Order: sequence, then C-alpha cells, then structure tokens
Amino acid sequence: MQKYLVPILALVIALPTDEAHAGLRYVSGEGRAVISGNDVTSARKAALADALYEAAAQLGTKVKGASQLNNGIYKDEHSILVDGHIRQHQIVAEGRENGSYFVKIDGIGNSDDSECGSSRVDLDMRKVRIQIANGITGYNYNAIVAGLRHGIDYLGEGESFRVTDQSHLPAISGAERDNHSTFDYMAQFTSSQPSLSGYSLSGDILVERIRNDGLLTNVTDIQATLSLKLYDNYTGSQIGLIRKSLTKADRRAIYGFAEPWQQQPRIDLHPLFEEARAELEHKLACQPLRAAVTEAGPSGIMLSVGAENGVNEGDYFLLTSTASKNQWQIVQVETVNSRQALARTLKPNPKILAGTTALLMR
Amino acid sequence: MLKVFGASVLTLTLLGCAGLSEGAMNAQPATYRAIGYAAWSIQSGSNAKQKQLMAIKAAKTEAMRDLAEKIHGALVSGRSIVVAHRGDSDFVQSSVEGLVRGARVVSIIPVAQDSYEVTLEVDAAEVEALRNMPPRTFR
Repeated sequence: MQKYLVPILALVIALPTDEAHAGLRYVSGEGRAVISGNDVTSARKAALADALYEAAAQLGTKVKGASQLNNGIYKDEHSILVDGHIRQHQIVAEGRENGSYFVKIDGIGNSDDSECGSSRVDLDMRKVRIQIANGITGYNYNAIVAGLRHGIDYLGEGESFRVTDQSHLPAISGAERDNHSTFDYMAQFTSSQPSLSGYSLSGDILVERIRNDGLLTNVTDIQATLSLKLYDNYTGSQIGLIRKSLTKADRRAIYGFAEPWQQQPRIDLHPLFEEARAELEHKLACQPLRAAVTEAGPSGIMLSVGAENGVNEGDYFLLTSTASKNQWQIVQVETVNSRQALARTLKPNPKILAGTTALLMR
Repeated sequence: MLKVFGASVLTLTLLGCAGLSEGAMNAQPATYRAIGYAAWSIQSGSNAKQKQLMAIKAAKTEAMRDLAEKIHGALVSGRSIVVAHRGDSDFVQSSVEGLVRGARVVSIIPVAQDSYEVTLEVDAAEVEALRNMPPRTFR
C-alpha cells in the first residue's frame, strides 16, 4: 500500500490551487492500509492518503474502459484518473481494525466553474448619483427622466443576483423620485445597511450635452455615461467596474434659423442599462453565494439566504469559526423559505455563533 | 374458449410490457447505483490483507466504470463474418469514456469465498449536471 502513497499524495497536492471563482463541495472519504510489522505510523499515513484519494474522487474521476469479446474469449480493461483539489480536510475517525489502520476524513474541495448561475447573490444598490445637465430640457429631459427610472428598475431585475433593497422600491412614488433639485433618485437608500454576505453597487450616471458646432451649424449630442463600481461587502474590495456610454444626436440646426433642419427622435436609454445589466450578470454569476448566520441555537442554524437565492433543501454551507480559521463547520439545509434557510450542523464542534458567514458548497 | 383465453392472456401480457416499458423510460431515479466485483486471490500483494485491500480497489474501479456507462452510455461496435453459411469470426467491443462526480461508496461486502462486492452511488442531480456539461476528451 505504501508504494501508492507518494503518487497519490503527489496527485492530490499537485492539482491546481488558483480557482478564484470555483465553487466548493463537501466531500468525505475512508482509507485503509495494512499495518506491516508494528509500523502504525506508515499505515496511518497510507490510510490518510487513501482517504484523500477517495474524497478527491468525488470531485472528479475520469473513467475509461473497454471490453472485447473475440470469438468467445472475453477481455476487459478499465482505468480511472482522479482529478480533484481538496482545500481543507480533517480526520473525523481513525484507528486499528483487524490488522489494518483506517482513517475517515471530511473535507472541502473545489468544484469546477460549470455551476455558475445556479444561485443568486444578494446585491445592494447604493449611492447611485444621477446628474442631468441643466441644458437638457423639454421632451428630451422628460425622456431621460423616464428612461432613468425604468433603467434602474431594469438593472435590478437580474437573474444571477437579487437586489436586497428591492423592497424599498415600491415605496418611492414617481413624484418623490422625480427630484429636480438633485436628480438623486437613489439617495433614499444610502441610510440602509449593506448585507455583509452580499455585494454592493454604487457610482454615477451622468447625462450631458456635447457641442459639435460648425461655422454655420449648431450641432449637439446627448451623451449618457454610466459608471458603476461593484464591491464585495465581505472583503470590502472592488471586484468590478461597469462603464457604459451612449451618444445620441440632439440638435441639428443652422444659425439664424429657429427650426432645426432635422427633428431628432427621443433619446432611449434602455440599451445603456441593457449592456450594464448584462455585464453585471456576467460578473456576479460565478460569485460564491454567501449567507450570514442570523440565529444559532439547538433548533438549528438560521441562514440569511433562501429559495430566492437559489438555495435548496440538502445544500451544504461551509462556516469558518470566528475563533480560528482552521476550524470549520458544515451545515446542511433542512428547510427553506423564500428568504431564509434552516440548517443543521454535521459535527458537534466547533460551535457556531450568530453573525458567522457561511459559504454555499455545490 | 381456449383461444379467447389465450388471446386475453397475450393482450394482458402485452399491455403489461408496454406499461412497464413506458414507466421505465419516464422514471427518474433519485440515485444511480453501480456494482463492481473483484477476487482478492488474484491480486498482487505480500499478504492476504493487502490482497483484500487491492481487491476492494479493483472492485471500486469496476463499479466506477459501470457508473460511467450508466451516466454517459457505452459505445458498442462489432463485426461478425460468415463465410459459406459458416460463422468465421465474431468480435464485439464496448467502450466508455466520461467524467463521474460525487460518487460515494454505499457498501463493501465480502461475497463467495474470496471476492468483494462494492456498490457506488451518485445523485441523479449530479448526473444531470454532468450530462449538461460540454463534452470533454481526455487521454
């Protein structure tokens, strides 16, 4: 058995480690090795390697096989290649049994990116400052105000994220949002607390008028620029910048003539928000789904995410102890409602406290 | 009367078959299971204990192959040659290649005199995810 120890460990250790967007998966394994002589230490190491191999196999095993029947003579051959990265593991049971040593482990492994989009992360829309240049008036101004109002609503209707401030939106009537003095529609949201387990979006939307006059011609365009920064609330780091721009012809006139030579259609801001939401979806689709532990007690662990986030019964969450990063707990979701999930711990220790962050594993 | 009885039995049998077949096609199992066997007496190892562990590994590998066939299907090819109404040669080959994820050991049972039976299981949701993945080729 020991001759397999080096290649097995080499395989498990040499697998790629830099998988920033990879999902996590709960794995377990049991390994056995014969105790040769009284060398329990070597047998234990071999059993651990075997258990890691079995656990890694749950992350991905490539199977190849062929069977042949040639004039009544049967022959077959098959091989398996284990390909999985175990990030952390811990021994849950070990001991001697009938001349061999056994080790049982559980662990956390990286799963590949194919599961992007299977969950929806929480997104706070905050401090989106909107400015419309004073020179824009009349039907263009009305079209821009309507377009911004519709655009912000549209931006919040993503498939890979759930806007946690959405519940505030219906409370804002058209008159309140149509604030001519500041054009700051989102100012109402700045006092709310961001979700620690989610993401935040903030930035500026600027609508201005650009002059491209000639000697005899009065030519102006309207340019709308959307610049939004995406933050990870848990780490506080900026994880993306969405910058989109849209230019539309405004006035086409000859000096001395009051009427423009060409009437321009109303500006439509929808394509701007369409592009921005597509990029936002792309950036958030592969982000891990995190949750905060809102309650921890004998009845279970209450998590701040639910069916609206794509959480299902039976899903596993990884919780790292706030006391020690090396100690972790795994909980399994038992019941889910739209915004919360009740989970049960798989091990007695470590104890989980309210406020701990949990990470979905699939 | 006997003819009528015979026809009825045939009709009932056919109906039963059709129902079973349709049900089998539509049924979505919650898990996929596969079994592998290996004898420990033919394994390499310096003592019986080591041979037994190797047999468990071989049985697991065989079960894994069975699981891969259930998930991805098997490619079957064959050639039979008949010369002058006499079977000359007969060759059948089946091969499988695919990725298996989330397989867990359900049981390891010693069977017969010197063999092990290993049962593996994988969730249907896992199988569905694997089937939806783009095809991969590996060496």
